[in-house]
Amino acid sequence: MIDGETNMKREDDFEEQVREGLRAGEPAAGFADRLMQRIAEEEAAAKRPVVVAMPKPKLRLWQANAQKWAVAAMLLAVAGSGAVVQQKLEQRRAGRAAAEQATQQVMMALQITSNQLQHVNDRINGQ
Amino acid sequence: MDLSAGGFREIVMAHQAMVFSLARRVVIDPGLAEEVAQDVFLELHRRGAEIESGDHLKYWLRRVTMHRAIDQVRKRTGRPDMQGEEFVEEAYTDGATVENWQQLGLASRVESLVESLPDTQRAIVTLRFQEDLDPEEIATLLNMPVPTVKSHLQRAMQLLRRKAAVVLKEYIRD
Repeated sequence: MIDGETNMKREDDFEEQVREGLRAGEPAAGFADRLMQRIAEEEAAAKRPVVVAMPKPKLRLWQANAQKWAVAAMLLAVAGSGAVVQQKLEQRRAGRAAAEQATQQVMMALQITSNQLQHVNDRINGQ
Repeated sequence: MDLSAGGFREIVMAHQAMVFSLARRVVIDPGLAEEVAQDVFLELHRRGAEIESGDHLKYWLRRVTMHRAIDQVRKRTGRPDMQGEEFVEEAYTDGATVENWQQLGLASRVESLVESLPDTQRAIVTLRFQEDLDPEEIATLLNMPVPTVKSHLQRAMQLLRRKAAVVLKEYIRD
């Protein structure tokens, strides 16, 4: 038979053992150093200037349309000048072809004339 | 509160064992406990000006550590605290007539026994026996009614005693 006093003693003993087993223990070595490092990093980050991008001004409706028209006009101008250049190149190519043809005709005429002169010369010498 | 680098380091050195051990007993994993303890001191560094005295500092550290540690446990396990008693083989605990806990080396096994308690009971037992707080102080710290703390504590001690009896009797048999 367990009397009240013995039971209380057992309780005390048990609680004392729990208390002893749950004593606070130190963290891993260097805990404070790691913490101070983190604090220094946080402070450095807080001091770094914050770069804020300038917001683009909002365009009014007519400004937005004017921009569109300007872009369209520029594209048209580029396309138009391209067409003019193309036309000039075509003309130059056609002129070169005509000159070539004329040269060939002159050469042919000279050849014919030369042949005829040769023929006349042969006949004179033959007589 | 002295928040200069030297002053703050002294505060850390004075309280790091308490903060780390509280966190360690609640979250169990030492790595996670260090993370919790560092976060607590970082917050203290940010809010140091609000601390009025040494007692206030101790109270603040205990409170913030416990709440952060309990949050971590809930985040990690994603389950509500187990409230039920765990199964312990009654055959071994019949009468629980352990005469002298000290002789059996209970203290060296307390940590692992406490780790096996449900989360809330573990937190309360830690505050009661590591920090030597009474149920009223624990209730204030954990935002709980005093009777709830007392009943958790009572259940936790019964469970611990039963588990200890099982473990130590196994040990004696071997």
